Amino acid sequence: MGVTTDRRRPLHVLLVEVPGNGAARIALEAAAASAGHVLATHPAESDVLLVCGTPGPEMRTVIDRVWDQMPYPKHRAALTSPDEIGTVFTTAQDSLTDRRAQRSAAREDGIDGRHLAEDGPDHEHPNDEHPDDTDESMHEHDMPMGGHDHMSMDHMSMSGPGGYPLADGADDRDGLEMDVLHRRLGPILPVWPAGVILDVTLTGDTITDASASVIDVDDHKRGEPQSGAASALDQAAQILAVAGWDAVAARTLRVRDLAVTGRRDQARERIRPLRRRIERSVMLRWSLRGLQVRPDIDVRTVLLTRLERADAALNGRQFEPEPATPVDEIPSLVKGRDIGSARLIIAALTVFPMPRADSADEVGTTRRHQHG
Amino acid sequence: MATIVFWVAAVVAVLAAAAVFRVDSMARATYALAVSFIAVGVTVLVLHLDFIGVITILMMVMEMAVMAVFMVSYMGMNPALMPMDMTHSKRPAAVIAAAVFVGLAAAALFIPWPARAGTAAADTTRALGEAIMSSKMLVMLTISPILFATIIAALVLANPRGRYDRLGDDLQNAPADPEPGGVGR
Amino acid sequence: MVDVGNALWALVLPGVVLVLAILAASGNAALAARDRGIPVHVGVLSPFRETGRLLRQQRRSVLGADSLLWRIGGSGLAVAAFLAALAVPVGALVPLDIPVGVVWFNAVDVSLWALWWLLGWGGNSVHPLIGGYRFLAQALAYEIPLMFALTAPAIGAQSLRLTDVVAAQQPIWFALTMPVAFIVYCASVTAFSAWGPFAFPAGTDIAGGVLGELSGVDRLLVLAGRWCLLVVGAAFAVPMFLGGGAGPLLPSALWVLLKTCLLLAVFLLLGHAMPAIRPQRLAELGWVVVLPLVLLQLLVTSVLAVMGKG
Repeated sequence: MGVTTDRRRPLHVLLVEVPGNGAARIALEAAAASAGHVLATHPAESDVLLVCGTPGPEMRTVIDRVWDQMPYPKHRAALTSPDEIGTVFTTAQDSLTDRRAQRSAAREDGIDGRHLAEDGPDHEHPNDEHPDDTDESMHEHDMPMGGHDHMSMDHMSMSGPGGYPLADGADDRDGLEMDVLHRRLGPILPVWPAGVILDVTLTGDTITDASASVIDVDDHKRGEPQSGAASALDQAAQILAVAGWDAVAARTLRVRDLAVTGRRDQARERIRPLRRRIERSVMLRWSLRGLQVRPDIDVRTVLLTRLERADAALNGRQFEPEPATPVDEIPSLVKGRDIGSARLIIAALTVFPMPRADSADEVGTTRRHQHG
Repeated sequence: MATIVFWVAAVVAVLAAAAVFRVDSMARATYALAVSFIAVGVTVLVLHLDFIGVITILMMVMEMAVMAVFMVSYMGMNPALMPMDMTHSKRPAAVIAAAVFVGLAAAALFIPWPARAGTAAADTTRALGEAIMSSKMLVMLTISPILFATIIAALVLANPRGRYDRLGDDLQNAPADPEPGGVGR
Repeated sequence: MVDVGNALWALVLPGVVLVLAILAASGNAALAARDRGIPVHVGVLSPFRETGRLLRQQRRSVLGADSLLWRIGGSGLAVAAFLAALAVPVGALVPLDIPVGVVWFNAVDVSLWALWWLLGWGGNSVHPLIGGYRFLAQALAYEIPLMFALTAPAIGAQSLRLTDVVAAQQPIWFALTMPVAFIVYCASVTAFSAWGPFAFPAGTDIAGGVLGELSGVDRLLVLAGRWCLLVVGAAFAVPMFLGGGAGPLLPSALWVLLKTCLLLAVFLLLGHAMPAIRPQRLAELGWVVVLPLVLLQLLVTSVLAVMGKG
């Protein structure tokens, strides 16, 4: 793909990865970057919603909800085969510049001019604008939370912003009373393991309770854990992006794109200086202090190991693949941390998409031989 | 020109102050109060007391912003838009407010203020400072860092987690903080 | 005559600040494009294209948001930048030549606490809220050192008026005689613009942070306001630390512009490549290390000022 001509404007693309389509997503990101398009971090800033792979039923609901939150002009496409990569952006741009169609679609949505987010009974997407309080009142009815049941009635009668009750309060780790919010992080979130859903209880911005699951757990194409230079660099770039070092994350992604598009010799040239830069950075080391993923491994070590793995893969050496973490272990790693630290820890994990019990089975077979 | 600015600022100050008790949210009340104080600062600026006027605006906006931090600490993040009634003991408060207003208005109107003798000083802030503090200027300068240190010391003493909680009984362990501080103390 | 000039300049000033902001955004985008491997000219044009795109995009609102305060927070950033720019002396033109120019800038940067918090809180959404509180956490770390750093040139010039501060730098610039204050000031400028090493209020780990739920014109106002703040911060450093319009050959107005652009370029080159610092790491650093250093700097400056004057 060539560089955009002046007629073609850069798009902000919200890329949704259906679990098991990591390679396709990386290829799509490389194509987008070479065409000058930008990856969006929020539906509010994006023009195009691109789904990589064929989503399952739950994923489809989530994707529809994200689609609703995007402002017009917008375009939506699904990428099911690698040959579509070449045309998907030009189709998107043609669709976006068709103002009449966009306007009539906006009018059909029943909203004129401004886009007002609607609420729904359950929230599966964290980037939505629904007040979190709805979740809380719903949960208070469903979950046996002792001591809260008598409060829920009072809260339902109070009207808060938008007609929803206000959040409860609870003490956080410093002893200050903060609002208790129940949020669902994922499955569509920038720099997030595909398909993972983390339901958290936030007091302020500290996670006091969490439970993890995988979307469409029965419907998985059992993707093999990624190996190779491209995926190692992709994972390293994820840590760098969440850690806030956008410049070096961009360089890592550039090396990844070189590796993916077959220019491995250029990738090989660039990876050594990149590794040196990251290793020598005192500010990164200082900023990332105190984030243990396992008792003896912290986030920075994981980052450096991933870069080493990528270097080895580019130069034809063997290297141990990163041990995968079952989804069920995530809550114990993030409880008690603030949301930024939790995101860094999760970015430093390779999340195995299946829950531990299913790991030895194919999808759909019974689990008889797991017992005993 | 100065009269117009004064009257506009005065009206804005009074209306914004009234709005503090009429709006539906803690955040709106806080910033209505900030607007009221800014208008008072503008009034002071009209009197050519530049430093005091700008400092008033600076301090009041900062205080309203710090109040947002305190709203988190003591109320949860609860400044949401909801109908609320911030007034207590309405009747005694109304009586006291009316009495104070009458008293201050009477003082402003009936005290025989002296007429200006001579011309205004070139630097009114300096003149005001010297009139108020004159020979005690050095004392005031020395007191301010002491006040600063006192505030910090009070915060340190009020912190429920002391050195022994952080560093163990013999102050030998590594600091046990939920988040490590930036300097590693 | 000067008053008409000042009034005209006051009207033109927002435009000048916006032009510089767009240039700074282009420079930043060019650096980002070079890192990513995209051709640099695509990066340079991207602020213009982004402006066009955002103007065409629908605006969005959130159920239960406090729209009044939210939009005030968003649009107030650029307004605060313009207010601060009014006090900068450009040649003979100073639209706002108050005797307390230094304090005026301080008042404007304090109002940014309120504006960023309103932007984060107003949207009734968790990620922007966390972004807003991250800004306050950073601000608690940099604000006191900044206030003291702003006092240092005032002590050196024995006056709070910006034209006096410029006049006091004739032999040697304050950036050289009070380096700690200058560095703290520059760091604080990037911090109150929530950019560079202090960009966590708008971080990727909270899905864009304070920029999260914004689209269309609202987003454009916040992005533009952020760049305007960086530009005005650089512009204000010129009279305070870099000698104002002093320099050979060119008229002083042009020197002010040139120095502003040079300082902006330094900000872009240094700040672009630094990792962002998580706000919880900053509080201890700000109060235990930076504040004593700035106070020492003030002591040195005061002693020099007293000795210099007799």
